[in-house]
Amino acid sequence: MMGAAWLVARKDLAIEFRTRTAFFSALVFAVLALCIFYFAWDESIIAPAQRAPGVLWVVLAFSALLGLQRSFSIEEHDRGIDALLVSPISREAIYLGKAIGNLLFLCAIQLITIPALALFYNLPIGRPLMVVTAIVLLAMIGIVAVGTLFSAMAVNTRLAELLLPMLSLPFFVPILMNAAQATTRVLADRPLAESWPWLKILIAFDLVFVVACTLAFPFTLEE
Amino acid sequence: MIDTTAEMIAGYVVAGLLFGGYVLSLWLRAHRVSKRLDAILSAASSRRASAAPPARRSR
Amino acid sequence: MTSAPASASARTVLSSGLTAPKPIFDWFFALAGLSVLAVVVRAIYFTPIEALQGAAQKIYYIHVPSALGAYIAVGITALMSIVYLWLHDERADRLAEASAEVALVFITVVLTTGPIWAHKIWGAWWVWWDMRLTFTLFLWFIVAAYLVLRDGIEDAAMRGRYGAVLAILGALLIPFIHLSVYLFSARLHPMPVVLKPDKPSLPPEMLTTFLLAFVAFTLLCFALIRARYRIAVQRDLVTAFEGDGGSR
Repeated sequence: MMGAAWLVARKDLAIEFRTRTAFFSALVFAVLALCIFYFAWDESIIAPAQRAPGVLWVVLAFSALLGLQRSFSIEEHDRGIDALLVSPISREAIYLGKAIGNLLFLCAIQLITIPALALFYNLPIGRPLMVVTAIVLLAMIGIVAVGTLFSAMAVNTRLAELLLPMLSLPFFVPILMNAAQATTRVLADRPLAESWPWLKILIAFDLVFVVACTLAFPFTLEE
Repeated sequence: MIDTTAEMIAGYVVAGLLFGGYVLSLWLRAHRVSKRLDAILSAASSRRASAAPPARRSR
Repeated sequence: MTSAPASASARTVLSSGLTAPKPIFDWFFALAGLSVLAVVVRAIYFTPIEALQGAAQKIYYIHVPSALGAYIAVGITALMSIVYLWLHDERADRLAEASAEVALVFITVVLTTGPIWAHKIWGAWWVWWDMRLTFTLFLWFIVAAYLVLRDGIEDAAMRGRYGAVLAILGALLIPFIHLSVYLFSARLHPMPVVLKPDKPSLPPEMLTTFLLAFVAFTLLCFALIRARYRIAVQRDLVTAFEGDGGSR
C-alpha cells in the first residue's frame, strides 16, 4: 500500500515540479505575510522575538490552506481523479499518497519560511530553531491529514475553495494552540520538558486523525 | 445588591428573538414546501382523474 | 399554527402509495412552546432574585438549559451520522441535518446570553479561559461548517456521506479542543470576577425553576428537531416528484 501511495505522491509532486506556480505563490504568500505581521504591532511594546511564535503559526496555517486547495483541484481539470479511481490502487493508498504529496509540498515551503522568520524577527540560530522545525513537522502531519480529506470534499461542492478554510480551521485550532504554546517555550530557551504536555496532545492529534481520515476518505468518493 | 435588571431583560429578549426567528423561518419553509407538495400532488391526481387511457407520462 | 393542509385530492394520491405528510406544527410543538413560556414567566415573576447578582442571574434559567438542548442536538447529529454511514438510511441523515440546525440555534443562544451575563458579573464580555464558553464557541464553528457543507452539495447521497464524515470527525475533535483549552487555561489566569458567582445551595424555588427549565428546553429541542425533520421529509418528497415528473 505504501508503494502505491508513494506513486500517487510522486505523480503530484512531478506535476507541481513542472509548473512550480503553486509552490511559488504559496511561498511568496508566506514570506509576505511574515513581513506584514511585523508591522502590525508596535515594536516598542512587544519585542519582535516575542511575537515570532504567534506569527509563525498564523502564517503557517494560512499558507497550508493555500497549498491544500491545490491538492484535489488539479484532479478536477481532466477528471484525473477518475483515472486514479479505476487504477488498481486502493482508496486508502490514494489518500495517503495525496497526503504525502501535500506534506512534502508544505514542508518545502516551511523550510524557507522558518529561516525567513529567524531573519526578519532576529531569532538566534541554533538548537531552539531546530526544535521548532521538528514541532512544525509534527503539526504539519495533523494539518495535512485533515486538510487533504477536506480538500477532497470541498472540490465536489458548489462553494469549492471557499469551503476549505471553514471546514479545516476548526480542526487546526488544537494544533495551532498547542504548537504555538510549545514554540513560545522553546524559543524562550526553556527546557523541552516544559513543552511536553502540549507536544503530547499534538502527537495524539496526529495519530488519531491520520487513522480517522484514512478510514473516512473512501466515503467521500462516488460509490 | 447591584441592579442588573437591564441585563436580564437583554438576555431574555435576545434569546426570544433567536428562538422566535428560528420558528418563523421554520414556519416559512413549512409553508413553502407544503404548498409546492400540494401543487405537485393535485396536478398528479387531476391527471389521473381525467380518466385518459394509461397515458404515457410526460417526460 | 398549522401548516397548509394538503388538499383532498392530494390526500387521495398520497393514500394510494405514500403516507400523508405529517403536520409540521402540531400539539407537541404547541406543548413545548407553552412550557417554555410558562418557565420564562415563572423565572421572571415568581422566582426570587439572587442576592449578589441581582436579576441578571435569571439569565441562567435560559442559558444553561439552552446549553443542554445544544448538547442533546449535537449528540443526535453525531449519533445519526454514524447510523447513516452504517445503514445508509436517509431518515438518519435527515435527523442529523435537522438536529444540526437546531443545535446551531441553541448554541447561538448560549453564546449570546452568556456574555450579557458575564459582562456585569465577571466584568468582561468574553473570557477565553472559561472552558465551557470557548468550547461552545468551537462547537458553533463545527456545526456551522457542517451546515454550510451540506448546503453546498446537490446530490442527496453525497450530501449525507460528506455530512456524516464531517460530523464524526467533529466528534473526534471535541476532546482535543477540550484538552487544549484546559491546558491553555491551566496557566492559572485570574478570573476577572467582580462578584463571585458562588451558589452554595440553591433555594428550593430557584432549584424548581431550574429543573422545570431543563424539562421545557428539552421539549423545545425535540419539538424543533421534529418540525425541522418533517420539513425535510416534505422537501425530499418534492424533490423526488420533480425529478420523477420531469416537468422541470
